[in-house]
Amino acid sequence: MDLKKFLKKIKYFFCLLIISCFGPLIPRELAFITNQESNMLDVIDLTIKRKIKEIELGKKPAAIFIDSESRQIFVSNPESNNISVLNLSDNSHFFIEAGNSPLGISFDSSRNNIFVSNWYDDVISVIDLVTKKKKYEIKVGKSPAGIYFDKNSKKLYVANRESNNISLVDTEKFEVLKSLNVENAPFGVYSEDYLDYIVVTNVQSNSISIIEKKSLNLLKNIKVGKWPYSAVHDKRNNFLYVTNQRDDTISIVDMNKKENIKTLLDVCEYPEGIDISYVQNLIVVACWFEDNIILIDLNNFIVKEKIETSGGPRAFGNFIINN
Amino acid sequence: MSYFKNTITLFVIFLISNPIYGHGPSRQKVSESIEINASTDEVWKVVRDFNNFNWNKSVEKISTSSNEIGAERTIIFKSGESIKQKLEKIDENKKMVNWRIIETDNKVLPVNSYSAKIFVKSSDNKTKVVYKSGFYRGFMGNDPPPELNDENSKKKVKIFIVENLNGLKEIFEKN
Repeated sequence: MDLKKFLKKIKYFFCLLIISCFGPLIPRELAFITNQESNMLDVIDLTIKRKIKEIELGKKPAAIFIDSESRQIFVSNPESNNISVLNLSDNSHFFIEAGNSPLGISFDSSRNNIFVSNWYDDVISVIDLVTKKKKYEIKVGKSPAGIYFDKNSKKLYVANRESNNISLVDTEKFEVLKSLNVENAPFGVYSEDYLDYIVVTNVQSNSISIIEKKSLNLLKNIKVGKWPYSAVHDKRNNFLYVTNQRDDTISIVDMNKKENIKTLLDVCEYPEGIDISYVQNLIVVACWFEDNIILIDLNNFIVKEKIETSGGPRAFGNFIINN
Repeated sequence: MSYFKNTITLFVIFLISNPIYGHGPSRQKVSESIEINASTDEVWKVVRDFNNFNWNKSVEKISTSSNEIGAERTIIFKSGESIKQKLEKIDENKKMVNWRIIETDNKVLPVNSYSAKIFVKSSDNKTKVVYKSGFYRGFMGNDPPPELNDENSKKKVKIFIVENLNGLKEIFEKN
């Protein structure tokens, strides 16, 4: 065994020792990675930087939404036409039928409504978590993909990839209020409760659109790398990090200036899902082609570690939770 | 009656050929490699040349616009089918070339949104060529016909890549 491997083992052993003694006192974070080839949800403990579990999902799992308050995880399984609902409090896992090719997923905890975009049917399905039945279908644009539910306004934002627009949906009346044309092939929609804008990744235009939440007005289109997929906001410095699938890069966008200020080159092959762990000071990225996730230091943007996943990681959504 | 038949045929052709690049189906990957008994520089010289694709034996001829980034080439196979590729990137330091397919014939390569990277690496006085591709199946709608489903698209891509790699090896190891 070489020295490097030996030291790594010692480090791992001490981590386990510390966690077993002081476990409840240490804030731990877990990353849940959907794997489209293995059909698994990989659970990665970011404290010890190891995969600790694999959970079997439906077919070709893609998007994920974690509701931190209720400690529930929602995953779309496009090729088995269902979604997985996992509860971290009691370790339960069940499936709910979700229409044709469910992709984007989100959850309104105040009404127990799960929202799913159905790629082939051009609709948003509203599923009641209590009855486990679909209760509404809302017609949106063509090939709806990423969705974002805003807790404060109860509005849902939908990226319609083949009609190049965004739908704004009222989730109390279950109707589309407005739509906005963006650039080519909008796929991902991202925001946070504390942000007053949404970020849309326009795959074929190599750009992101910054859109005001309230008015649905376009604030700015910003050029990023090739085939942008997901974005995440760093609240410490007001930066956005955007994964670019086709050129293996991450674009850093300074939201004070609304400008692309830096590109992290050669991060990994086909970087896709991206999230931040403030506790561990890491940016976590799912690398589809490499079958791993990479951990990037949040301060100096250096790739610190790669952790193997079970196959074809996508992790399209927010995938990190405190445990 | 023939008008009705023609309309149906046209509609079916439209459905099959309409390039709805998207994420309905799941993306596929194929990665293959080969070891070649030649120097890395020699192999890289052949791989990076967008004007030359004589390493695939099924190719009848190619027409290329240039060897610069953004150049396009049409590859015509002996069977009569053709595909059109675009040169996306050449990285001289990494010895990596990136091609994308912009038009294809489903009989030869049933793919959508296909992109491939070829890496030429040094390996114990030999050269290792790693050929990686990411793509969607030939039919982007729901319920694909068998010849355009994930399995068959992946199979065809694998055959194409293995053919390319074997042909490349043969150039340097003829005797």
